[in-house]
Amino acid sequence: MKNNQLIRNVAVLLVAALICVVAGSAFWEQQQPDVLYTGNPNITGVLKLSDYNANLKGTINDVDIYVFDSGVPGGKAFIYGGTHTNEVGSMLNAVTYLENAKCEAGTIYVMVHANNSGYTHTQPLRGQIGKMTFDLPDGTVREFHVGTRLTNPIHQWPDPNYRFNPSGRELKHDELAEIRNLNRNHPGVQDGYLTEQTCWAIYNFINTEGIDFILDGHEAGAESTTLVNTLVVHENAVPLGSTAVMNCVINNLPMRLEFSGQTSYGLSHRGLGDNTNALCTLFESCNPVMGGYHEKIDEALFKDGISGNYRAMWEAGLFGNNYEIPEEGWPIEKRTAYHMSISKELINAFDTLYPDKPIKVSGLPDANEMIEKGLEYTLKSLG
Amino acid sequence: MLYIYLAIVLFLLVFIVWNMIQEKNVLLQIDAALVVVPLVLRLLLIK
Repeated sequence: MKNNQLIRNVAVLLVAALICVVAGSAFWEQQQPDVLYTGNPNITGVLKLSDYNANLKGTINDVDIYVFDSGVPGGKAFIYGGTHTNEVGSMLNAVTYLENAKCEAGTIYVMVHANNSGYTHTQPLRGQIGKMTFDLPDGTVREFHVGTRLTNPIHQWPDPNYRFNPSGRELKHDELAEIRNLNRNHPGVQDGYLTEQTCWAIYNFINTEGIDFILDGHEAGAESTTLVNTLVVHENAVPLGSTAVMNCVINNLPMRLEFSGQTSYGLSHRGLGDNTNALCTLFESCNPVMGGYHEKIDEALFKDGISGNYRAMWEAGLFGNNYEIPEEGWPIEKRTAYHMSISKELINAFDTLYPDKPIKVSGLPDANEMIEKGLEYTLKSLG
Repeated sequence: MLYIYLAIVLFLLVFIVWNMIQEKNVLLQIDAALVVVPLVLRLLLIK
């Protein structure tokens, strides 16, 4: 009898251990870092966020900032993606810069995974895939993790019961998880929570390096009618942003300009725009995954951006005439091309508006070709 | 703060496993085993 109990106990423990291993291996795989192509000969240096906040040293958010210094004194641009790690268009724009950009005047700084911790998990109960893959023409495969908009609780836990940090945003009740949202805590706290520390590192990086303007890349669901295909700008960045958007519209890209809300506490365009000298901008492309009416969040939805629900809502006139939800959806190539185009136009606009601080970029793929042929043809092979 | 929370997790885990071993009803043992899984993963900071 006692032996039976022992055998049963061991069996139950073994089953529990097996489930831990099976479930744990999937979570463990999600925590492995993406391999980025860093063979671009135009990269002149690599900085780390811990260079600007030593508290980040040894943490998951001690991410790389790639420097493209032309050697010609001029303006300084900071282009980054991965603030919200399921808004993949912004990250792939940063990857496009990393792999292809050449700075002809001034300096460009590129950060791919602004909140690296966010890539290591997905939102519980959302049933979302954890990575995207691209089959390149040479037969190799590029993989990119897809995460969620918040820092992983294993890196920042527990959330506080109340928080009022320098961003001006008061976190309480059901908003407390926002303490793990990189785009709600700018300009951050040097020795605060991990996300606040990351924000402060970005703030200090901008001040230390004398960054002239920033572009924070994001994606929004189609029902966010004031955000989709919109460049949100701090009031100091209106001339820069409006010039860039106007040039995009001239090139048949249906983009719009939106002012940063005075109470958009902790968002990059407000928190960094108010507290640094940089002209702060944020761009949102259309990603059905980010909305509330999407279908199953599989790789196809992330990559092809085709959503029957959103198409039907658009046909019913729910989104006005702000933008189209075409049958072919909003594929990742198009979203990345939009991010690339607006960032390029911001660089061009800054170069025009501030001739004493020239900044020029070359080497980026043609946006139309990117949309036509897909990211498979613009991403570099890791060999 | 993290380590205090991890200690709480460990404390719960020990009692649940102990209870699981003492339990005579196999269904309740399986029930306890299911509770153990997320606690182990959090204790190891995997999930």
